[in-house]
Amino acid sequence: MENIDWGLVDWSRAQFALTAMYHWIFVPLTLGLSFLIAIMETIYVKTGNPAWKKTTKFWMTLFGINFAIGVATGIILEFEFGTNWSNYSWFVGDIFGAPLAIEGIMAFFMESTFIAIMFFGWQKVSKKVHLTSTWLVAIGSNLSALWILAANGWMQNPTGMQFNPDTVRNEMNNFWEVLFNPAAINKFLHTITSAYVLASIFVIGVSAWFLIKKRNTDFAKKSMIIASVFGFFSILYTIGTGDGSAKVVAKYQPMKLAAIEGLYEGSTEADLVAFGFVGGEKTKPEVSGIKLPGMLSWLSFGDSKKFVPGIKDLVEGNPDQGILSYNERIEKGKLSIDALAEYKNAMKSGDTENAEIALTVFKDNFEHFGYGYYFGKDPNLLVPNVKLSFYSFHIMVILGAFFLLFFILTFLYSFKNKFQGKNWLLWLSIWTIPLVYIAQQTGWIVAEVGRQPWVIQDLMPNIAAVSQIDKSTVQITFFLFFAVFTALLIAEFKIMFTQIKKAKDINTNENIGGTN
Amino acid sequence: MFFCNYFFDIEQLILYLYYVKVSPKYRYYHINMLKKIINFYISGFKNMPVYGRRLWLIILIKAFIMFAVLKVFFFQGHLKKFKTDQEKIDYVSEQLITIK
Repeated sequence: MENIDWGLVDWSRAQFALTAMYHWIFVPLTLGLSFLIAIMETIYVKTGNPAWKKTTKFWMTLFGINFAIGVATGIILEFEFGTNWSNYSWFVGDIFGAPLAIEGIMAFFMESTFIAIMFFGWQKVSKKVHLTSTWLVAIGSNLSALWILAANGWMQNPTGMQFNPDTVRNEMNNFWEVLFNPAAINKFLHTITSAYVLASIFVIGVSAWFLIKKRNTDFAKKSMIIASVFGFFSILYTIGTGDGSAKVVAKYQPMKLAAIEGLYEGSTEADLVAFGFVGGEKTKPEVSGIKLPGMLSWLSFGDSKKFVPGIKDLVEGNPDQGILSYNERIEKGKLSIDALAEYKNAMKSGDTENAEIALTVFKDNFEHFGYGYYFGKDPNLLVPNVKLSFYSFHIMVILGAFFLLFFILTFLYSFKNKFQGKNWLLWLSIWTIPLVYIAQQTGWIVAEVGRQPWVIQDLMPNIAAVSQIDKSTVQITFFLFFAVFTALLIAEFKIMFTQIKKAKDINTNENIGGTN
Repeated sequence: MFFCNYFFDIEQLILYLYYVKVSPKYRYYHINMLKKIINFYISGFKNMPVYGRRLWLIILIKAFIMFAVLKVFFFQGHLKKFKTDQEKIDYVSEQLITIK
């Protein structure tokens, strides 16, 4: 244990988390706003009403600002994979390479080409070509997200591959299994629909500001109606896919489920914590609060009689439920790692007979491979940060429920045209914008902190994935990224606020947003 | 103005290269098409509002920091120091079979 530089692991993790969290400030608005703009422009093309054209152009301006500031921030994550996580990058092989390459090509050709038509083409191409471009930008951005999230889903539930001990890489043997991995599909749908929720709340919040200022009121009401309807259906879908994600987590990542619920001892008819606090020791949490009887079992497996394992069951094992203890898995993982070493040595010396034997042992225990790195260590190191996972999950769920009520309210008030003058609701709409960003970030904390220490579930922990590089380099770039991303965020706020404040007479002025 | 001239030169260059490479049969049709596309972008950039120019400046600064500073000095790729795939395999194998 003294040979592991935990500082290096933690700084590398912190840097990746910082980059990913900043990146995810920009992405969801792009994903959601692109569809809202496409819907608004469709109404313009259908009705021919120029007010809808101006409405589309205004939101397109804000979309453009967010897109320009956020573009390429994700590439830094790829830099980090290659430098800070080189063992991981080699180990995942083409499973990561293929989806990322498709994403790169799609993002470049679809988004770059059609975004130019969106912004420069209002008077250069026909209405229908322009509208098609706007829809293609929306579809293209969302498809880009599909490939990234398929890669992430594979890390949560590795499938569709075979490990090649000669190259020490995983090789994809079923592309469709990787793409339609249940973890990937649920993650993709949950993520993009939550992005639609964010964009809808953003549109409602900005429109509410116009109503408070009594400016561009017709435009604001029109925008609110579209965003309320889109947001309402999106939050329903987000909740539905969240339920799907929970079932996938229960099946493939039981420790994550135990951590987000603070469940120490598993049981049948396990209770769901609706609202509560977590105390106790780091790996022996005690939860107090309002609990819904049997709901966790029901939500996880569709049956309240089913057993949901807790942290204790997973660490210490539960023979009645057929759960191996972490120590048993560590032993098997160690066998697998040693067998890989023996195989490599046997192949080097040309001893094919021993190589075959070692390969069989390796394959038989491969599903526990990553546990082997904890040989001689405390198995509790395999338990994620329970408090962070628990609070992040519950904040996300509570905010999700609040957004559902919020959309019902905005939906009703927008349709009855009673938004104006309801200052409490208008201010609530504005203050819901930071809340939806918090929900997004906590969602990712649940997904990524909850699966620690796994970089690839059960196969590669972060201590095996990290590159042996100088810790000070990681620290320097951590603060460098922090400075650059904060500067970008400030620039985004400044330019966006200026454009919003400058927007006058959207209903009559031709020159709002983008070029003509 | 500098940018306008710059784009104009690129246009001339592309047209020149295109003229040299493509068979005469399709040359004029393709050149017209290419001209239209280039002019589309040039007029788009020329008519860009002030905030748009600021955004492009931010994109360029960001790209410079990412690719000319971070990539070159801090993120060269840990395995890039090995010349062949076999060297990389040997290094990663050693890392993976060593339990610290």
